[in-house]
Amino acid sequence: MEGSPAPADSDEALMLAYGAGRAAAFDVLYARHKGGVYRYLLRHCRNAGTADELFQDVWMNAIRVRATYVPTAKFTTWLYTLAHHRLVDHWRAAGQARFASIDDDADADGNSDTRSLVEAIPGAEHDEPESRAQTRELGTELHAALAALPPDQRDAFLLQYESGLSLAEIAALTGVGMETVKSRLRYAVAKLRAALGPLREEWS
Amino acid sequence: MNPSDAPERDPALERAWRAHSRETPSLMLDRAILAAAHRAVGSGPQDASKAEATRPQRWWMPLAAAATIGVIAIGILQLTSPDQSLVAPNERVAAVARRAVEEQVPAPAVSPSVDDAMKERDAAAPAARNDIAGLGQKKKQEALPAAPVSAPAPQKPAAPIEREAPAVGGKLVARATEPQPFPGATDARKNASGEMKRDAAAGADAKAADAIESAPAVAPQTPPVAMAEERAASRKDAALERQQPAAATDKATTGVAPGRSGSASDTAVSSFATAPAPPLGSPRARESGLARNEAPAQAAPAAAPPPALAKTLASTEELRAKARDPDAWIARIRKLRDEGHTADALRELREFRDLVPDAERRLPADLLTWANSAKP
Repeated sequence: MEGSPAPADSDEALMLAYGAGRAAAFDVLYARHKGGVYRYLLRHCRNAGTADELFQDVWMNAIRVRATYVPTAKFTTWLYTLAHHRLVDHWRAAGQARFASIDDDADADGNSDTRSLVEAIPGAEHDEPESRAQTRELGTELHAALAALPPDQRDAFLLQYESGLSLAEIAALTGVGMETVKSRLRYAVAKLRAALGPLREEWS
Repeated sequence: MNPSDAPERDPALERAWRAHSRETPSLMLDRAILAAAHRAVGSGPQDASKAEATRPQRWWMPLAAAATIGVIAIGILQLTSPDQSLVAPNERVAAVARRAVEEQVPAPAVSPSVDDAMKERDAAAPAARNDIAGLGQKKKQEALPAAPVSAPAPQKPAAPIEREAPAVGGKLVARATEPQPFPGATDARKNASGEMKRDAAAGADAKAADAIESAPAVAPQTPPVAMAEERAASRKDAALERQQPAAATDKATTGVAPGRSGSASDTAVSSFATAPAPPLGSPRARESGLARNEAPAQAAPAAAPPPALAKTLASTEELRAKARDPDAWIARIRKLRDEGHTADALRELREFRDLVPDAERRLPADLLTWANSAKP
């Protein structure tokens, strides 16, 4: 492949091109998937510094194995598998449970990373103050409800809503059955709906 | 989306999630990752054409150069004769000296059959056939031009060499013991005197040394004429030796030995002097004669004789040519006798008797009577 990669190129073709030595293909891939991977990691670890470290490790790992990449599955599945494994390694190295609950991350003042993350959410700066406050409140409640989910349910929710993976891909990535993934998603969505009930109706 | 996922997805929740989940990595992190990706590609695999251009393709050049040098060396060795390439210069000089001395070694008598065979072989060389009648008068004149033909670089004037050349090795010894009827008449008579034996022996050493010194580093191929002359010299020496008693040879050579340096020619002469001559006509003599006649023919192509030896060979070739026609020789002897050159006539008569096997039968009665009555 000569010249700049076309935006319509598939992720797999871009990764193969990068493995053949075309750095521009990686630029396109990175631009496509950097946000989803970063948010996936950020929602799990709920710390920007840790998320940056893990995010860099995931992409460096992708760069390192570029020559041996074989498109046996979707590139997205392969990339989030790297991110998931890196997250598991991080938790294992920290001596924590596989997926920590939100209560464990709350500080002595009752604030949690979820709240700080909500503060960091870029809102619609041109919105009206009332609408901006309402959106911030919805976002705060959403992230708080997500952080309150069990890790497996949160992981399933993030992989579907953030990464766009199918149930089968989530099942393969997490190593569980598809029905288990369905159950986890059903519980996660139900809890989020319940947490966002009044705000959700007003916001929608 | 998979249809099975549809019940699990909430559009309102998804829309709310998209609206409130927009975090992105920092620009520094982006630059760091992209820079790492570009660096990895820069040191990683490249395009096939680019890699092929930088691939070393000249590993075979040293092998090709070594193979070429080897082929050239083998070719030179095959084109070079063994004498030129495998024998050291000192060995070549020693070989020339030994060959020169061996050519002076008197061979036993040559049987008439062998002589006839050699005559037939020499018949192919027209240069060796001369007018026997004019040989006596042109003896010196013909001996001189013969030398440059076979000798590349004559070192001394031709006239002294003609008389000194026979005084080499055993040939000189054999002549020194001969009874000389006319002492002091000619230079040849002087060479034959007893006092000149030691001088001649010393001269033989000098000639041998000159031959060694004048031998070229790479011996040229001996021309056919020179080879014929060498064979003629060998046969003449054999005839002369046949007339000499073995005891005389021992006596003469023992007078040469004291006070001399141990050169290659000395060694060869001494070894010959200590070897008793085989009896005339014995099987051993015939065998050795055959061997000695064959040996120069085999060794001749290796090196040319030195100038002194060439002169000797030329003179001996004359005698041999005369021996081919005894009647003409007898006529010449008679002519010399009639003209009053008694000494020359006697000398020719003596050489006739030496070289012609049935000389006494061929000589006419008047010459026999004159020879018996003539006094030098």
